[in-house]
Amino acid sequence: MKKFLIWAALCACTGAAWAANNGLVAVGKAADKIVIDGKLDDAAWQNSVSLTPFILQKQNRFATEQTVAKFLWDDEYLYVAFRCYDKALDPVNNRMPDFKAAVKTGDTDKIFKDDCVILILLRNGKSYDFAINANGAVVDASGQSKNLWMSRNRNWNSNIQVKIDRFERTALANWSVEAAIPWRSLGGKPQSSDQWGLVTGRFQQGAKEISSFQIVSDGMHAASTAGKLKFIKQIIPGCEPQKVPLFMPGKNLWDFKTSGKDYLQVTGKVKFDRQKVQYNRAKGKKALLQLPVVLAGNGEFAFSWSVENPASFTEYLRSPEYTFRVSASMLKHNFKNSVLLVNGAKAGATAVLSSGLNLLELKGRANDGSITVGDHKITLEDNGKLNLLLEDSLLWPNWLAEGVYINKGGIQQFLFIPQGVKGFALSDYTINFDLPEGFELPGASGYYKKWQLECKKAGIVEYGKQKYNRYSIVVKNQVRHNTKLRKHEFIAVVVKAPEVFSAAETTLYYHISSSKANIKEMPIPVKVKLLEKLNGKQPEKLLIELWTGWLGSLDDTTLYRHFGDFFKAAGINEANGLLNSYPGIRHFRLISFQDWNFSCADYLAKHPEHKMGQVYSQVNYPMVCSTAMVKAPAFEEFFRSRLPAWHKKWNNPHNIHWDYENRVFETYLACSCDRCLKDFQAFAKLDSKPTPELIKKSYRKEWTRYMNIRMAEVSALFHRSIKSVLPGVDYSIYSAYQSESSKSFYGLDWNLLKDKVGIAACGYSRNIAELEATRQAIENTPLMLGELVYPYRETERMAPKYASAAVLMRRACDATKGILIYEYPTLDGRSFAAMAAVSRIMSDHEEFFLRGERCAEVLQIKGFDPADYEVLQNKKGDLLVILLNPSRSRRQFEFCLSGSAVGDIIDLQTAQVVTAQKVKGSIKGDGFAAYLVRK
Amino acid sequence: MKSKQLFFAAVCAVLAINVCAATMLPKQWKANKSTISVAADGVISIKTNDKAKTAGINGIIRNLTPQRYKVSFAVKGQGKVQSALNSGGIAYSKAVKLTDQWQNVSLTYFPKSKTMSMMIYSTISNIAEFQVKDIAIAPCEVPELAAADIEAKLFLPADFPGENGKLYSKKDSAVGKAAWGKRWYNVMKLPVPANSKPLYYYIHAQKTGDVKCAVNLRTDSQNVYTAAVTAPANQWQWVKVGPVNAVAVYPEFYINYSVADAKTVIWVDKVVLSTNAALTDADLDKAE
Repeated sequence: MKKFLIWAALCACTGAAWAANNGLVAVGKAADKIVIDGKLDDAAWQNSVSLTPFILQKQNRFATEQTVAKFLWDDEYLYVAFRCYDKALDPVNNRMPDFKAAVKTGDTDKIFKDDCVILILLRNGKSYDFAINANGAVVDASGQSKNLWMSRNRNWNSNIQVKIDRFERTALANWSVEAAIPWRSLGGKPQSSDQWGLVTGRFQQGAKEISSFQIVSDGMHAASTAGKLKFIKQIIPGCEPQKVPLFMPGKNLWDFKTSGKDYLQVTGKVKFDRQKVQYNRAKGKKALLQLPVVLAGNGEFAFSWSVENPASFTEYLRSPEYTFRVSASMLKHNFKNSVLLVNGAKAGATAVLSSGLNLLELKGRANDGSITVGDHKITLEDNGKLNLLLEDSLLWPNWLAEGVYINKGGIQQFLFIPQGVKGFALSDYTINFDLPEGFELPGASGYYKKWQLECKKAGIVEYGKQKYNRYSIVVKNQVRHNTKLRKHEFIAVVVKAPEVFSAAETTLYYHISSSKANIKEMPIPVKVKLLEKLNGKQPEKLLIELWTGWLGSLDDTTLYRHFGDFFKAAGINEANGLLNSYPGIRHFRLISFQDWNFSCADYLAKHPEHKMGQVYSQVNYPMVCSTAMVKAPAFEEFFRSRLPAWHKKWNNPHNIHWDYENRVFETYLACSCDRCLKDFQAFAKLDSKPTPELIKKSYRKEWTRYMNIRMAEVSALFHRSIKSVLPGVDYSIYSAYQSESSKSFYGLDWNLLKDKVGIAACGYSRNIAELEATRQAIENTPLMLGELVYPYRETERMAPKYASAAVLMRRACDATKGILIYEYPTLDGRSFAAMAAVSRIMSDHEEFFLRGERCAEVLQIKGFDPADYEVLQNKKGDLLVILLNPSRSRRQFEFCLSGSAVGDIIDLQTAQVVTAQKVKGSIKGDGFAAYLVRK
Repeated sequence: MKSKQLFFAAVCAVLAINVCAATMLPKQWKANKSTISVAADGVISIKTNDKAKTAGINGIIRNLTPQRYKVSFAVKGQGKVQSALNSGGIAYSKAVKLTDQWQNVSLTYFPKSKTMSMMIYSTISNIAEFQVKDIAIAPCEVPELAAADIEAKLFLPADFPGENGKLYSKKDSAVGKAAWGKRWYNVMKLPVPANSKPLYYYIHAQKTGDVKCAVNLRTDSQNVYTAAVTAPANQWQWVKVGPVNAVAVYPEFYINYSVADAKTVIWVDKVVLSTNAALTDADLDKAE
């Protein structure tokens, strides 16, 4: 990369050419007319190459929220398209407020605080740059390519046409930009003598990612960032790279989708240090080209790929040159009179192993040498053979990517994916965890009795000079190869850290083995960073609620003790996974009408006429028509009569949660029976009974209101039933913040719920307008606010994210009943340390949070966004001042209080009284500062 | 076995390979400084004459079309055996040390005419006895070709290294670095486009001695195309190689040198591919 930096710097100085290895894009002629509507469904777009994947700025990782950019041109316009995938737009994640689209009109740099795409075009020394957000607001500017940012003239008007579309319903939720920039604004149509440069980037606010197709070392507005852009007078073939594979030693396959009509070639270029460049190619006239990326080396390698015409070698797209690493793949041996075969081929003194299974076989005398892979000595079985597995077994989420943080004296749950070994059905599949001395493995467990496990200590092993305890988890039932296991089919392995450990960092290893099948896996290292022992404190009235995934279905319930101790130390006082087995941690349970939860089968046996009509929503369990639920006294009687048994069955929860996030046409309350249609007819004052199709077509607004009321009526039924039958048990609803879109998207209107629920819970993330609307709607109902740390799918392999103390404290200040954290399986010590820190302030100063009286206006502080501080007031008039640092780097602050608010100021982290009038200090990244002002 | 029977057995053996090959492979293999016999299953047994190096069998392969062929056979016995093909330039297979197990030998070749001679012979100077079977010829896979113009596509040695030769800084090179090589070196490995038009590879080369030398486009062990480096010593020259038929060298070839002496060094700092046979030095210098 050094070479690149030097070259890039040179380009920046001369301004004459763009970075040679920061990619190249060929823009072809549009085959047909393009309608600017944001939908990107014009046929012409099929004949364009896709700029993807986007890589994170100043990081060597691809963005988790990916983007695809495309270009076309005709005699009048340059056409640009972006498709921006974003989990915040997937309703199931309930993180809509994380998606930022505040700026409504253009020409303000505030747009950079929104989710937006960046397009920078450089042409013969001039620059044209554009930022477009999800409202279609544009800030466009022209300038000089030598000094891109400083020379930006925002008075320039490009006359760009922009339309936006959003796709919020699928697992691949995204927003898209379609734009046309007239050539007259860019100095006329492209000429053959032009030198063009290009930057295509994106600011993604939900995961705080800044990414671009080009590698950004200095900043997006730097000429050195630009890749090359060229214009082709012909129509070019379409091609789109699919998800980048996880590069492993050996052969990796990367899919490229094409139209299948054009003959195309995809080339991968790999260069390991001190090795020659290697090329791999895939070509043909196929809808899917699979590029083999063969990594026959060890360590760092440069990688780039290109799409070209195989007849003319015309490049349509060339990626920037990335630098990645592969490791632990080199086998060395010193057999002199024996031949070592690796995967059937005779090995020299060294051999590169592939990821997956490698068959080692010694021909000749077995004892005249040894085999090593990295630092590990490999022992063959007596028959001179070994199935050596490399980098195959997986943990979820991917703690290998950036390591795992464990609190001293705390535990960490590792979810191991028992995916077996390709080609084998193993009856002694053994998961080994090698832990540094002092660490323990209290146990491991599957869920729903899928796996029969035997957990045992299996001796001491050495890594380098350090001693490790090996713990083996033998799976007693047969394990077949299956890479599509779901989370509840994983195995939870609990690792406990010592209270005292000399180093700040260490490494643990895991690997599988099978004696019967002669399989051993090379130990896979997981970097462990140790954090201080948790010092949390459980509040009495406020809730710190943890959603625990499948924890409640563990086979080995003896492990709950360890989870309980740990959660308590983090200040957590409510969780759903410990099943009321741990004193001091309240239990909450979700209620639903699914057969296994609160079944209505018996009710429907007596009242078959109340069966739900399933036109809108298809449920596969016995469900009662929602009109009958709220209008037939028999149903409420049935519900009340069954509630005690349900409560007992589910371990007597202290809090019954109704998780309601259902669209108004898809909810199980959206019944289409005759009774419901008539009821809706009366509600909407229609002349005749509407059909379900007509309602969907013509009465969406009325139906939304009707279903919001229906949901509130069902909630009222829950509320009064629980109050009367289970006194002392809380009833809460979890859903989205109050907003117009929540009414149809999540099917609820908090305005209708203020007296029909005990605790309102919502989130995730923070949209101040929606937060205020929610507070107003629920009035005095206690409010709990959630933080979804990150929605990971089973297939995702990015490094896990964490909940910061700054974010959790923000939620706590916004709420009046505490916070909820979703969800445990992807969390490590960082999130628990944050919970502990926040819980202590919440617990020691509970009345401030419970009252929720905010008076931030008394604080005089410079450079802080209002979202980054809060002042809470108790009955006596004392103040709790909270300052937040949501950034990763340390933040300085200086504040004072306005006249009436002055009092004794105590720094709650040091317990020192601050005497100065102006309070100065700094907050570490992700953290907060807290001060108590006593009147 | 009488000669007519031998002839019949040989034909049958050839027919057993494939119909296409039957019309191309020799109907009868000729003994060269050796005694041969053909068994009913087509296995040819060869015993070389005393100390007769290069003794073995010869034959003429006919009805060839302009494409690359893969010629293969299996061999076992005693000694060391090699094969050679010749149709406007000779190419050799690797020499194989024989054992009592059948070993497969193959090489590819682009014939310059409709016929090509094939030899399978001993490389030792003592008597060798070996058996040959499954002699086959098959066209190499050819991609779908398209007629496309290539203006001037530049290749640099740093991006396309060969088997041997090193990249050094060179002050008088247009790009600052050049591949250093000598006689027989394979210095750059270049891809070949799937293009049906005649191709021209312009090689920017410099020799250090005023001796006869040439750059070759070499695939497998055949120098398929060749062109002389005519400029005086230590002067850069664009050496044009072509017209090149893509199928002759597809999918890639080495830049290889034929030099009259072992001392002379050849430098190459860039190569330009084009379908234009008349690019000037100025055109070539600005190729990207």
